[in-house]
Amino acid sequence: MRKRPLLAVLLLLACIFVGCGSPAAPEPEPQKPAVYGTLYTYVGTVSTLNPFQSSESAGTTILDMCSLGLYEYFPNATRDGFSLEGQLAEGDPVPLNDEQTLWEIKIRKNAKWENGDPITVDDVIYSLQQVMDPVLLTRRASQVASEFITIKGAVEYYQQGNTNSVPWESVGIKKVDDYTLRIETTGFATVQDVKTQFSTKYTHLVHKPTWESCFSADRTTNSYGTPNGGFMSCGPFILKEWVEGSQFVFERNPDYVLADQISLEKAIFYQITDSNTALEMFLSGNLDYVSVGAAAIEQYEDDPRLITTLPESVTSICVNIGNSKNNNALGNQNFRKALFYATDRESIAKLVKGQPATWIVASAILSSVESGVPFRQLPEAQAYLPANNGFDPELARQYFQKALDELGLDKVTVTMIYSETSTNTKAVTEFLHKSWPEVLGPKFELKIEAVSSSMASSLRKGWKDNPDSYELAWGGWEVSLTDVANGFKVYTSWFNNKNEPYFNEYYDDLWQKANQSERGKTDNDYRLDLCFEMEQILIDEALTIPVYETPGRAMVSDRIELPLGGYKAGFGWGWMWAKVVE
Amino acid sequence: MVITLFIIITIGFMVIRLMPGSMYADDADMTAAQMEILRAKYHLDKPIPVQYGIFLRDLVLKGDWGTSIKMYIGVPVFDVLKMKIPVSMYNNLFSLLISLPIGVLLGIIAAVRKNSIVDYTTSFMVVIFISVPSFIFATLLQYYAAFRSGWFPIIYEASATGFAKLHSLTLPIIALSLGPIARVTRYLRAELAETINSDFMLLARTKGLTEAQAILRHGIRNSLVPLANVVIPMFTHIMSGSMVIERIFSIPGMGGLMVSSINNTDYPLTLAVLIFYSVVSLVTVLVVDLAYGVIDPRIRIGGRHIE
Amino acid sequence: MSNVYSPTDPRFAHLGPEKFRLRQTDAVLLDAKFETKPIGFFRDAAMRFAKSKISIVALIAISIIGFMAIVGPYMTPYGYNDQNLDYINLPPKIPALARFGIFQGTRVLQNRRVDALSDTSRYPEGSIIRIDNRRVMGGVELCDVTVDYYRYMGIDDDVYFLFGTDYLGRDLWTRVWRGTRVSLIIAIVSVICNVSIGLVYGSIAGYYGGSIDMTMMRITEIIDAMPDVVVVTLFILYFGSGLISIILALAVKNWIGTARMIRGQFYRFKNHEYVLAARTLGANDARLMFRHILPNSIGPIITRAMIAIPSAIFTESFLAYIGLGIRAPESSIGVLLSEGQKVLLYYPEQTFFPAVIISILMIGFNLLSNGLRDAFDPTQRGTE
Repeated sequence: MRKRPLLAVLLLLACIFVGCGSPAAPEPEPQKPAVYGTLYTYVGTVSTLNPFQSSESAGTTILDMCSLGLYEYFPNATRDGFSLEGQLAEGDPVPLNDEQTLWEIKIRKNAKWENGDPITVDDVIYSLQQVMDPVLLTRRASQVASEFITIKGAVEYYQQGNTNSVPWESVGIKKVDDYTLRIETTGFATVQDVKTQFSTKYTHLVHKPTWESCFSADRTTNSYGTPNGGFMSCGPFILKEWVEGSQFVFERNPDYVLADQISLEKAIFYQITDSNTALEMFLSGNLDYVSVGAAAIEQYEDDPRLITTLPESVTSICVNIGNSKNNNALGNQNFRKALFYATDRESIAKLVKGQPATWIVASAILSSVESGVPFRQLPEAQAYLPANNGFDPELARQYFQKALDELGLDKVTVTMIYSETSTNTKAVTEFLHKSWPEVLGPKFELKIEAVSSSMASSLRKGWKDNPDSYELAWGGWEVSLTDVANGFKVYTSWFNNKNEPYFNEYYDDLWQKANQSERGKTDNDYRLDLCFEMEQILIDEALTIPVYETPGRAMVSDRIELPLGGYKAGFGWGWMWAKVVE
Repeated sequence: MVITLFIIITIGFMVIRLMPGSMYADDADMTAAQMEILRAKYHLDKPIPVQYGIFLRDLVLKGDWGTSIKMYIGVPVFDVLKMKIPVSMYNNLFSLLISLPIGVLLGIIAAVRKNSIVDYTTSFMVVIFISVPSFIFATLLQYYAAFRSGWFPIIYEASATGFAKLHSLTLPIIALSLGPIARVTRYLRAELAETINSDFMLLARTKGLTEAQAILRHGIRNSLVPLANVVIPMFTHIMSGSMVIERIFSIPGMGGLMVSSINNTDYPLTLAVLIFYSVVSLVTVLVVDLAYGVIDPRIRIGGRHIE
Repeated sequence: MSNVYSPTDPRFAHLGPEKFRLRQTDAVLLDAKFETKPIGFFRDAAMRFAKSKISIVALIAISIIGFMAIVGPYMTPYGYNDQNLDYINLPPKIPALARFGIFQGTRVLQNRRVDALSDTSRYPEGSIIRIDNRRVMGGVELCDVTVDYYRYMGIDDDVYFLFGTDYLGRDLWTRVWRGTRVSLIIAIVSVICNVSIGLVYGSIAGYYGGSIDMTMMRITEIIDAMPDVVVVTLFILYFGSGLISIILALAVKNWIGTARMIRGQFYRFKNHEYVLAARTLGANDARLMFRHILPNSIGPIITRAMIAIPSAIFTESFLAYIGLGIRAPESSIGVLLSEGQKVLLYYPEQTFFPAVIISILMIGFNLLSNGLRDAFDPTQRGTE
């Protein structure tokens, strides 16, 4: 059941009425909440609102505002946590067989598009069919077909190309009636899996007539959700205006399925990329929210509006262990460990105004949504971390000497690539350029090379085509904040977007146990144990060298009341439930 | 001109495709199979000459410039440009329109009052505006004229119309114009100062014209001809300046498109932007050539006249 | 019958030799031989240049900056890449100027809690200088504190950085002068490149004319039509952001202007009689081009080069802003300016010093080029 904070408030009010000594008084009619006020905030670059193509985090924020998915993270009634509840779906998915491979999801009957068209299961199925369309081939097809659950026949369907060999009917997505959907998975899945899968933005709905009108003549491209194409809102808010690169204007959607939870009349999301500009907008009262960069923090550290949030990603050095230069020195574990222990993380933390990190799982990632406890804060997750934030010059030199002996080299020169536009990694790169050779001695040399950010990432992923594409590069995964075990996928053998050519069957097996086995899905302690083991393996391998984490810092104006009073990892700010309290 | 453009397109196409980096390097979590299919879809799996052939065929036969493959997925690049150009042109043309007269005026004043305090002040300002990059001025203008004083909006107001829009564009336009104004002023001052000393000006004064009349009727006209030389670089200068200014004032124009399309390896879009800029600069050259004829039918070739 | 005087002519018998007297028996004939040395082209120019006070001032200013670019980095005990993470972003502190109230190493810290001011772990003894603008926000009393930032950071009083430090605690004095050096090298080398290419290219096009000229000018048109931003960006992305590639990127389009100008000069002079004379005397093409026609263009070339130097520095700073500048940890004016812009509102001094230097260089080179243009102008030759 969805939680209804409002209902709780009304009940409380009712009790007060009762307490006032009028037991005969009829129950007060459920009132609409006071709906007023405009929220002013900002996001980064958004180039498309096509839920099947969007890959920008800002796009996710915008889609949350104006489009609808089956499930969504809602704030708890007590407003201290959040949980995954039905948005378009009415209640949790129901398993129809004991193997838990057949699921039924009921959807609400009162959902409507912006233009008044009713939303039925047909819309849901149409959207899923389009995201996996083999000719259109959207970027998110593979994730819809198989991520938290694997939908039967879906992978074969989207990969068939023009062959027309796999009919849509063979895919495990079926209509039962107008308001009931049936999903068939290839293996065991939990309720949580199904809900998580259908809470992702790329399973959000698209409006069929609008979508159809956005096809190019040959039906290979579709301009839905781009500034020039059409778009139809159905979420908590209606997208009234989109000035590309400038602003989004939202108005409350009175027909939203859970309209009574929305208190804002209007919301404006500016698009601002320059941090100084955003800060000035906030200070002059034109924005209700601003993220505060490292340079500005000195001026605002005492400001009562400042909210500090846990780091969501560990900035690490990816090591191309397949690189053949220097007799494949980077493939040598002792050499990598030498780099690991030669990194003076405390100094670096000062530099980036963050905290040293020697781990793989970022501080904000939750051990489970139910407990709300970050994985990092579990005592078991701290037991295996190296002492002194992993800085041990003596140990580093020992490892380095061992590596030199094993490699039969007199000197090792490695090159690190970095992007000039990223202030923090640039500074840290310059720091390491100087400090690593100081620790490791004259037999070690670090070269640094500035490349554009896109070049950096294509080199980092480029080892598939060219094993020597890079040596050391900066990386930092942003993985699911609510599912710690899932995030370990980025080091598995089959993960396609890998930074490092790392293939370890034992590790793969651990990951599968944690994420796909029945026990892993149901036994939380077992899953966490596997996570500890996976993290230990990764730290020991040092194929990625964790360096630092930077907490999020932001200021929110006094006139806004956030649903959870601030930011929660995995939930975000919850702008759509915000209230104006002037 | 068409041939020039064709060569530019060809070179541009080759250079952009030969750029290191792959189109689907850092992206949504796609499988290898999916990426292969996508590459094939955009013909990226074929050799570059073949890709070029396909591009030319579509361009000539269908007038199709291609579709954005990374940033505005599914949108024809032509439409992306159509959306971005007006915003930038508004700023750039405005900036050009105000910087020319102001620059000319300042240049005249400085030349006429040569070596006076006015001249020195102008020269000083000119040097500052030319030498300090516009991103510094833009940041300072935004801070003082918008944030601290509240005279102007901090960012561009996209949905505003008429005067309000112009109001929100004032600061970016000023920031864009400072450099060009300084360039025009410097150039005109030097030219005019030379012209004033030339024989025909002496003649003009001898025949009874006042200083002002002589300068207005004879001096300026002669100095304007070489000014056309600075207008072309000035226009491209404004365009490159707008790249920085648009970022600071959150203006959704062409400025950032070039760099972000390169960064996103959106080949068709990069090529379209390149072609756009090339056409603009070719047209500017053409306009200036024509303007020569209007300002001065006998194009000045002879030596300089110095007393 | 002629009217020419001859002593034997009877008509002039009355004009005997005794009637004549030599006028200059002891005086020297003035036009026989110059006493002074002939004044060469450059000498002549130098003389006229020396007469212009402004040009001399500009030359001195540039020389001082050039001198500082060479020795400046060695004037402090800190290297350009000496990092100290305890000394991050320090304000400038110049002991000699401190008593005048500037560059004392102070900084205003805004929005500080009033109740934390007495906390000596945050504000060490003697670090607070002034407290302004007390106000209450969100139930907390805040104020703006002016602190002696060196003490605030727990740094000894005898440590000072003339221009402050940057985000890695590196001495900005050293970095500014080293950056000036690097920028000047980039600018000068790229200008030499573009002048050399432009010179040869323009000479050939201008001298031969006809279809050669036509083709060569079409090529320049094509290169010229590609916008600078695009060419430079692609160039750097393609070849990486080293010193050499920045220099080449700056030269790749700029030689066209020089080439056009040289071509124009050739068209102007190649039909002059003296060229014809030299040709008749058997001078070959190369000699005609480089010995006889080209020297006419020396003045404009030098003037052009002088203006091109600061604008190359300017372009380099633009490249640095979009993240394509010189490779770290090396410094340059552009790198310093773009680093400074990121923190302009918090640490304006990090932008101030490089901006002043680029301005002085800009003024200097402009005035210098004016002076040189006047000095080299052949129509002014010999005038004083």
